[in-house]
Amino acid sequence: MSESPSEPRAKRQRVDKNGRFAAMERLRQLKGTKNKCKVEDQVDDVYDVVDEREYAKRAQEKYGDDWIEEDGTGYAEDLRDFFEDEDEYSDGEEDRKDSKKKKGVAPNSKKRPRENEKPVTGKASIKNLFSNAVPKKMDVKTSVKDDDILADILGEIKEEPAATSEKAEKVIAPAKISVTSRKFDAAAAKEYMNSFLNNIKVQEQERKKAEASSDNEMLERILKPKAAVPNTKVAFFSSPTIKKEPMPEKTPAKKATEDPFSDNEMDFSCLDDDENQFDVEKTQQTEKVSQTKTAAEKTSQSKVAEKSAPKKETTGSPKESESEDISRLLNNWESICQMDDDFEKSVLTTEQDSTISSDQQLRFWYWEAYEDPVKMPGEVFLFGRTADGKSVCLRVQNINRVLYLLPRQFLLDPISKEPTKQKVTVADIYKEFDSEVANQLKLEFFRSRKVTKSFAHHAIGIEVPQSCDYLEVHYDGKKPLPNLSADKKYNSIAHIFGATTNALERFLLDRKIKGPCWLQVTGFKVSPTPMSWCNTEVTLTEPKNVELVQDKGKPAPPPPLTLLSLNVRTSMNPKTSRNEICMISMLTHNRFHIDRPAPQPAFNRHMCALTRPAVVSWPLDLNFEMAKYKSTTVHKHDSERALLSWFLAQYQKIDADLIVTFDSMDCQLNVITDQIVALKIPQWSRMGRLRLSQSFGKRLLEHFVGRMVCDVKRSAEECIRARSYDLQTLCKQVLKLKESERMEVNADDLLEMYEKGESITKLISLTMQDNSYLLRLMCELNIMPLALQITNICGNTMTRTLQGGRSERNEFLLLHAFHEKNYIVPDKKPVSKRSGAGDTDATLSGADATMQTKKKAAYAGGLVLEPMRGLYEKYVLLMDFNSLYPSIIQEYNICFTTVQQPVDADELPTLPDSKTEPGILPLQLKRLVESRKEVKKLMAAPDLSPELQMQYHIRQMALKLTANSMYGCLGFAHSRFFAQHLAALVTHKGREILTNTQQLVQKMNYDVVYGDTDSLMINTNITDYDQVYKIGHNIKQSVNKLYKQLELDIDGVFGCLLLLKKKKYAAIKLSKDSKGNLRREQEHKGLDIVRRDWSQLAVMVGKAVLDEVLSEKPLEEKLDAVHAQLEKIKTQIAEGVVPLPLFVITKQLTRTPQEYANSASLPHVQVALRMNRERNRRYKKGDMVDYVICLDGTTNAAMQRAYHLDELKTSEDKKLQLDTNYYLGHQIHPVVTRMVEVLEGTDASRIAECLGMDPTKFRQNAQRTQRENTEQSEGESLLKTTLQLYRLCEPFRFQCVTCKTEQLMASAYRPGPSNSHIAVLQQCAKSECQTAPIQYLASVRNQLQLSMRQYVQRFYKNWLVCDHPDCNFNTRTHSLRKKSHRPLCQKCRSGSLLRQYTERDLYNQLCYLRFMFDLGKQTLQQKPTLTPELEQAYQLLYETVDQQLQSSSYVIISLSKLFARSLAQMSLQPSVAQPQIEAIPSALADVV
Amino acid sequence: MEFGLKKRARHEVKVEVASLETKYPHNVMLYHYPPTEDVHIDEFEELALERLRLLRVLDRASTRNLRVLSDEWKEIVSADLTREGLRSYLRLCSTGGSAKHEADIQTRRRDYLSHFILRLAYCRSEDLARWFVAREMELFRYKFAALSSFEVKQFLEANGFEIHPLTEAQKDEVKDGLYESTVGQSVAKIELLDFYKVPFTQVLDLVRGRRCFLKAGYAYVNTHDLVSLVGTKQQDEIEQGLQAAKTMVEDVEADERISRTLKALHNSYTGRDYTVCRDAAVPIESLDQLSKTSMPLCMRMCHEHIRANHHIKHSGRMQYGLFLKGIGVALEDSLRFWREEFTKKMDADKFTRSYEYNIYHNYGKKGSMVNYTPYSCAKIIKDVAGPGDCHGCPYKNMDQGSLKTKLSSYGLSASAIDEVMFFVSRGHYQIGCGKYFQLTHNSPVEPSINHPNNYFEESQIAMGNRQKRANGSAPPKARIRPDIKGHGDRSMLMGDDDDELWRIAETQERIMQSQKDISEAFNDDLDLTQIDY
Repeated sequence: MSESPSEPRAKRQRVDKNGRFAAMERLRQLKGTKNKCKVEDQVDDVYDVVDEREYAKRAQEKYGDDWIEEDGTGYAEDLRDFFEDEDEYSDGEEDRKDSKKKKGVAPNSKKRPRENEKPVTGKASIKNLFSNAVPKKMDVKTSVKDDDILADILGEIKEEPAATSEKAEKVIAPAKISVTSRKFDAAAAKEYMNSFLNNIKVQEQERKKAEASSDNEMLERILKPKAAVPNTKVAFFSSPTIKKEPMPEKTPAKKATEDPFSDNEMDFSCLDDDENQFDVEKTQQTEKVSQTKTAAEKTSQSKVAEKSAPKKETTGSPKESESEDISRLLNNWESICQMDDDFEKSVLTTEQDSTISSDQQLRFWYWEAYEDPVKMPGEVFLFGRTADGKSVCLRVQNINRVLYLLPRQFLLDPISKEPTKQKVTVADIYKEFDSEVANQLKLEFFRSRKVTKSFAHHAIGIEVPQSCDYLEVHYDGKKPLPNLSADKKYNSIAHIFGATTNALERFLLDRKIKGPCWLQVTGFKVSPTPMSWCNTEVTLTEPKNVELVQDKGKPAPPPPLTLLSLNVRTSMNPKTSRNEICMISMLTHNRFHIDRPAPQPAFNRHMCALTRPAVVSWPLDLNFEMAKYKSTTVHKHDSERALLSWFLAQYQKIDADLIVTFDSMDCQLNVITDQIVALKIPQWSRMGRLRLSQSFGKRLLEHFVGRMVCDVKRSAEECIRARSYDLQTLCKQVLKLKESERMEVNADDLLEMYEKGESITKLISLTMQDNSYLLRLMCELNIMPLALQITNICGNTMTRTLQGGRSERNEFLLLHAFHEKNYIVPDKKPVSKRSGAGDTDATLSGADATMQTKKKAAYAGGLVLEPMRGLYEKYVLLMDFNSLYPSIIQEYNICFTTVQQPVDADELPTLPDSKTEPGILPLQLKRLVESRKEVKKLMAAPDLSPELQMQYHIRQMALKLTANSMYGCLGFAHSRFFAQHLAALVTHKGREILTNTQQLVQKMNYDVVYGDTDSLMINTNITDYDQVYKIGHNIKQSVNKLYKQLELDIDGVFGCLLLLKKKKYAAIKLSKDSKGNLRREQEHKGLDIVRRDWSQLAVMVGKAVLDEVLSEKPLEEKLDAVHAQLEKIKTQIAEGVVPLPLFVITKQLTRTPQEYANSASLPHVQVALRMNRERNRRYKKGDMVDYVICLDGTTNAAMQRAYHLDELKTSEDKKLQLDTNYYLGHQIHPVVTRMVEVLEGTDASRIAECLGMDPTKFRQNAQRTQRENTEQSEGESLLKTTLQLYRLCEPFRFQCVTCKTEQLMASAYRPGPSNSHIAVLQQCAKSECQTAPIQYLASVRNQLQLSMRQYVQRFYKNWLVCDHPDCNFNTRTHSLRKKSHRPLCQKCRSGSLLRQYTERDLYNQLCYLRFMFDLGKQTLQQKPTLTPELEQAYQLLYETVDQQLQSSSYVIISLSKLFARSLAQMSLQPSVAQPQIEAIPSALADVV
Repeated sequence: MEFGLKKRARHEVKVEVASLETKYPHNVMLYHYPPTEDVHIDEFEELALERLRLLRVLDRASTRNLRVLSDEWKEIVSADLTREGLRSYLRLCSTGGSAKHEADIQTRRRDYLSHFILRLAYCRSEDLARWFVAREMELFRYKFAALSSFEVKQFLEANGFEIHPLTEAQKDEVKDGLYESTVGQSVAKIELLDFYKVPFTQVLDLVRGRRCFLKAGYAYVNTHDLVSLVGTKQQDEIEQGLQAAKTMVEDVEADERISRTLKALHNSYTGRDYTVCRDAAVPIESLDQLSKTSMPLCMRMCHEHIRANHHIKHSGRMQYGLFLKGIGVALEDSLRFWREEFTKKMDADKFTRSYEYNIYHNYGKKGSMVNYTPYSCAKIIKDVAGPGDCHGCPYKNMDQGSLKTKLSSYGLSASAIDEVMFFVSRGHYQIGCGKYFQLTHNSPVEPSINHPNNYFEESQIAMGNRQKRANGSAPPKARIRPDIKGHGDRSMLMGDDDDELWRIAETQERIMQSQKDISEAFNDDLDLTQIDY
């Protein structure tokens, strides 16, 4: 439900009011003719073109002032738009009514006040109107009646009107999606969750009750009619009747209204009931129109047509024949764009000749470039569009290879290859090149000259002087490279630069083309045989003739581009085990302005084609359903091949500049290209723009030569931070869609959906809808404008930018910069054979992976300060350095040109002198930063149009992104500008700066509680917002005056901070709004509750606890509340009030279930396997598996008692029951404990107590954390009292030989009555027994020995326990896989194993035993006097223990071993002291 | 814990013992070669703590702005050392020479070993290292200053300094220069002094201070000033050692026997333990009185805060509650005290619900059953308090103006306040607190306060309510226990550790008994056994 109801309207651009009536008219005439689903009718422009304001005005007039209804959902207005167009297809009506009957209930219709205004009679008129077409007209009425009844019911239920509308909606939510009953549960769970968070307050519980009752009622109503229809098979939808109904409707709305996407089309329920209204209004309108305006209609229509497309050919198009098709009304807005197409085409045909024959100039906006270094070396293709919308392909030939030959200092002896005394001259090089290289390469022709160039990159393995003379050689790009291999040693040439540089790079650098721009070409020829699929294709033999268009003043905006958004559904063909395409949805926009806010929707034409998956056959009712389906033009094909052929034809016609997909590499485009190639569809190269005959194999993007490919997923990964980047999450996060508003169709569902016609149409809608979502995502995220800006800044190619190759962007930025500064640019590493723009991303992502592993070892990254754990209730100031790394590079002038590479790779290079000229890198950064400042200044201008504002914003974003990623290219091993020493230097400086700042802040007497790379959290210890800011400014000033470029800034103020670990904290961020009120906003980082693998319940409780902890209360009240919460949830779980879905734990299968090696300990794998086996499910790789932990009567470990929710529900005689203890102990407890254990006043055992568990179980744990805490905290004593030392040890037990009583011994003297003490050995514990232990001393000693051995054995048994609180796995198997020094737990794979009985335990135990017999150590004040025999006996036993203790090497700390390294160093020291190698400077002597 | 190594381990130790004297020939040694002997795990810790206490004594002296080696400094240091039970070190530092006495040699060994042990602890950050080097250098100078000329010669020889005192003839040549350059010594004394001729670059600080005779690039340095030359060398040695130790930190971390000790060492509290009060019972009725006389400012303010507001925030409750426990308020009394105060503002129910647990918790009776330790000064000072809080160190947290008012309201004279403020304004809060103690108790000496309970105790002693303990901070072994008076369950409070051990043992026993099969119980509850790390 869109947040702002009025917003989408604002984006509306074209709306028509009149044409539709004409269309309606035609529609009526057509009624009865069989109506094809393929609707490609061409209609006159039936829309008025009105602008935004105009529309609003008209709308206002039409609907009266209250036409935007505040039902809180914001779709009122759009729905209105739905049915304005709804009347365009009458066939839909039938279906609709049909379903209405079945459904009976349209629950929340009464939310809309305006509906009540509509007279019911209007409905009757609908009936009349459609009477001949619609067989079951009476249904309308019944359904309406139902509505009314329901409205009454609801009216009774609701007490506070505001709340109810919301409530009613919620109530309906389950029904509207209701894919499975599970989903309903989910909604209930959500409800529960919400209520849980609130219902601490008692009064709210009442409300909830009311809600629940209304809920039930609703459900009942929804379900009842379903039962009444016998035909309705309850397959996998619990309420399919409702289901199918909204689908057809929703998409028409989408298409017709132009902007429903900003709202929730998925909200079927509203559609359900709203359609009743539609009918009413629709009929009213249509009626009116048909009565009054029939005559006027034609004229207005033609007028519009004239206006928008004067040259349009109205006849001749094959579609024209279908123009009578009834459904063209439906698509009449489409016809506009279609018309445009035609318009363009006609323009093309007329103007083409003139443009080309004029032979003077071709101006076009270049979007993409491509070269094929293998087949067509020395040639570059540029693709783009002209201002009038023709696609252009420019083939630039004769791009020369440019070599720079570095002379040797001394000539090599031709035979021995030893340096001679002879200096190398330019002539020498020329001669050698001419004789050796040119001959070898069979060059007929080359040009050369002497140039002076600089060189700054040091990592190529040879010494290159900073600046010297080179011989620059140009020769034909078609000729191969000179021999560069290491074993070839030229006599005079030390190194050849530039040989591997590809033509595209040379061309772009040489022509200074930085990203898409207007180009001006002269002196070209029109290619006789087309090489491309473009409208215009010209060939240029002289690269120099390509020139940037230099505009005076403001540069011309880019022409609109054509975009095509694709969404493909595939199904696995079991025979071929290939993914086959069964549905393609296409959305296009042929005048998409990249520089303007995106239109809503961002497409003006849409279609969908489908075929059946190999394993299913067409359902019988398909044609019928399809005929009814009006949401889009659907093309049915009987085979995949036909589908793809059709697709390619359409595709070519569209001739898109930009292909938008989701997850293109791994899924969508991949499948398309694979299948197209596999099925040998003719002219497959139409996918790209070059006519090619041979397939590229795996290089996916090369199939799309000349078209930009925007993968929304990949771009989103770069643009925003999300939990995951699947479409669902992105929709939720970016488009603010509710989870219920989008439905994921997995492979199983897909096949099932193909079983019925109606579900196929539903699938079509879903597919179209997903497609539109992704397009919307692209617009919302401003992916294209941003990419354009970045590309313009960096000067690479668009596709590469869109593929996210950051390093390559920076590479190009630097290439341009170095080139301009007359530097020789470093060559590409031969390892990564890149071929310019057409590079596959596969290499890149591979490189990414290796980089990550390499980088770790290579140099240290940012510094993360050890957090001072705890809860901070005073304001904590969050400060950070504005773009730290770019600033460091500028501050210290770190550049290839200024910093020498150290000889030793581990050493840090020295910083350049402060007087050194700023290097290229800092200059570039400075440029970026300053332009950003400029842009920001521009942005601050008061009366800026939103369009401009957006452009500026994107520009500054792009600048920021580029500047920030600059550092990355230094540390990226596969970058051409890889310079680890620089990267290391930068991060080193970063760490240094952070530490310095920390110290400085500490000196100012504030506590730095945490810091990460470039940010510091400072505990200000006050609670005055403004004061905190003052402190912040103080700190800022004193830090900033130390640096020129670096800038510390206040990032925010935390009102409350719960700091748990490195990168794990929760906080309340405070901000002041314009009125000076403080706003509180929660921020989480890295907490359990944001992770998915906990049950909803745990997450929910965790959130509740966190809310309490972060609330504005004194600590004790917080703890109180937390404890109360926990107790409440405990009772609720016990009572079984908690909805089942909350217990579900979800995990993703990362491979096929069978492939897991240790499935026994992976609950989700077990469940998947079992479900696949027993319940015919098809869980496969990538699927999410839901499970709950149940009691199944076995004693298996919890992880082996995982069951699917369905299994639990259907289990017979309650054999399976929810293992509530598991949830309390292993879900809620750890999540909560981890959050609150840093708080004083509670601990794990207290939490356990609240949850009704045995607190002692956690005592050990709590004590451990306690100890860790105290050890971390300051001012604790290291000296332990005997109690502290031995409290956890076991006492000594021995048996009396006579009375066989077990004697307990905790220390030498046993406390007796009235504060007296008696030696243990003196008297038996049993007072009647007369035998003193001393009398059987030998036996005691023996028993002592035995018990000691037992301890030793226990130690050697080496039981390990997992330290993960909800695993606690015990094992003796030692694993070699380590997790930070300790073996990884094999069971949970997240914890590490600890010894249960450690060396220290044993040592303590033995010490304790020894202590018991050490009379001198007893701390008793009044020791009883002992006889010498007794003393001796004690001594004997003491020695017994001591002996054992002394024989252990544990007690001995070998200092020599400890200091062994130091000793070794010492012996080495004299030889180590050697002067630094001073080879470099002398070797750098100038050559020539 | 391997038991197989029995023979070898013991054997080695014996060998080491035999050569002790040759190993540690001199009181003053450059810590060049790392020790190679084996030490017992207990001794290791002991050595570390001992050295830490020693260095802290020096630290305290230096915070008083005394010049190192001035008489006053020496006095304070020796008094402190005596009190800390570090007499052997005092002897080491003051007697000088190369005595062959067994005890001296043992001390030398301890000195040597402990220095290296502390290197492992203090190499971890630059701050720590700086502190360590400064203290070690003070110690070195202290030791070196006690050496006689002969011993200096010996030392130089032993440590390979290639410098020798001037012969008489050489001395004559530069006599005048020496007379003029040596300050504060009579001519006769100068005659007796040994002078050394060294390149001036080695004693730059003397040159900078114009404190030696300089001729032809050589500086003529007398025995006393030689410390600057030797000290530089020593300092280099230590600094390098710390660098080297840094590389060992990882190995040390891996050794769980010592890692914890070393990690926590620098901010560990070395004073007495006040977790369980063994001395006296303090009835809560006397708290009002005691707060005026015997409590340090931080606690007094907490007490007043409670009395005034009938409420105190959690941190304050922890600080004050544990302090009360430390001075001898029994659990029951404590409960009563808090309840009485708090219920003035809330109903008893709420108190029971929200606060009782906490008090039990502090006394180790609920929850994790850890008997909490009263906060030490270091911890309190670290604990910053915001407005509305009353915990933390008032000397640190209050601004000077209100502190002054506070102090004067407590009856301090203006001059006395200035005295206290002198230290406070320099960030030496503990000394300020000591000064306050001295002023309020009219005591001749100013105690070094490092724990509020320590303050309380000192105060009680000064007022004659309690007897002075035997030598300071070593864990008290045999303590005189006054008669039990007062009320309530004193078991926890007053109980001996030993008795407590018995109690634990018996509870354990009962648990064990209640489960039928003990061994089975153990197996079931494997995870109950302590998980260490």
